[in-house]
Amino acid sequence: MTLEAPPITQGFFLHIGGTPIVIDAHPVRTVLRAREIKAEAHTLDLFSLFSEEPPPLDARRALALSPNDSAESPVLIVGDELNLAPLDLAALLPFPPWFEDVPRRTGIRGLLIHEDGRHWLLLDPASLIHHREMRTEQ
Amino acid sequence: MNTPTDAINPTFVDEIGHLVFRVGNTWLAAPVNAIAELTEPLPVTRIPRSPSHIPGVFALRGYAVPLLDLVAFLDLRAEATPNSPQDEFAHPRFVILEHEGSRVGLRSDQTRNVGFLTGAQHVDLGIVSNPRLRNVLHAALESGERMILLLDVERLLNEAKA
Repeated sequence: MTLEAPPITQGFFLHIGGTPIVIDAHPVRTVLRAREIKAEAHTLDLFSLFSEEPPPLDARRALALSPNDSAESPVLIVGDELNLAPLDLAALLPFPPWFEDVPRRTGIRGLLIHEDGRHWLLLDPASLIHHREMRTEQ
Repeated sequence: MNTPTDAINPTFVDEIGHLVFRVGNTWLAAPVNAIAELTEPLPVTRIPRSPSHIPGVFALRGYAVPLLDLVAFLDLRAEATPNSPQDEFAHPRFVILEHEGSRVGLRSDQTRNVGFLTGAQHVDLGIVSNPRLRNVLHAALESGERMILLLDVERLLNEAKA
């Protein structure tokens, strides 16, 4: 009998201003440096979305996500401190019904407590972008 | 036979029990069937684009629980009067409310034991000058020298929803 190790999920742990965010690294195709970032329709600036003070231009990084069926490859503008580390999605604490609007409004799906006890908010870029596209179409 | 005084200030009959707690200078009460538990204050993580009365979310027994700041939401006075005898009993806690499957935490400055408020006197809600506060109350009671305001938990949580 062969035992198969469970796939290791990685996540990008970062801060958008004062907001601790983790993003599943699966759909991330590449990390762009400041000079490679272009402001296009499918670019989503998380600092602006979260009303946080943006970092200096040359400190900016961006995550280019895998293309999906409906749009060009979306790009998330993030800060300069990207920490790639194992992500335990089983530790996710989803929001209660009272917070039902939060994932739609922010893309944040729940609270994740890391091994070291620090708290992170799991951001689901796909749902965030999907809902933004829905709003644009309306 | 009721006296005229009884008619104006009828006695409250408490059939389920209430937790009495203080937020700033305001004593509030919530029915015990709406209270899940009391905890020490826990680390709170801010949620972007949330209203100012929701400072964030905290982890409790496998749930992410939103924190509701009543001082911000109801325009309550944040601090007890300086040198007030209340201060020496101050012990901040989170009061965890549960309603229709959702848990929401309130930050309280002081809590009293759960008990029955039977015998307290009803006071006209018009005495509460703060309209935002009055809107989420079931009743106002006078108990000893203290005014205790009974929260309408369902209305409070519906109004404060993120």
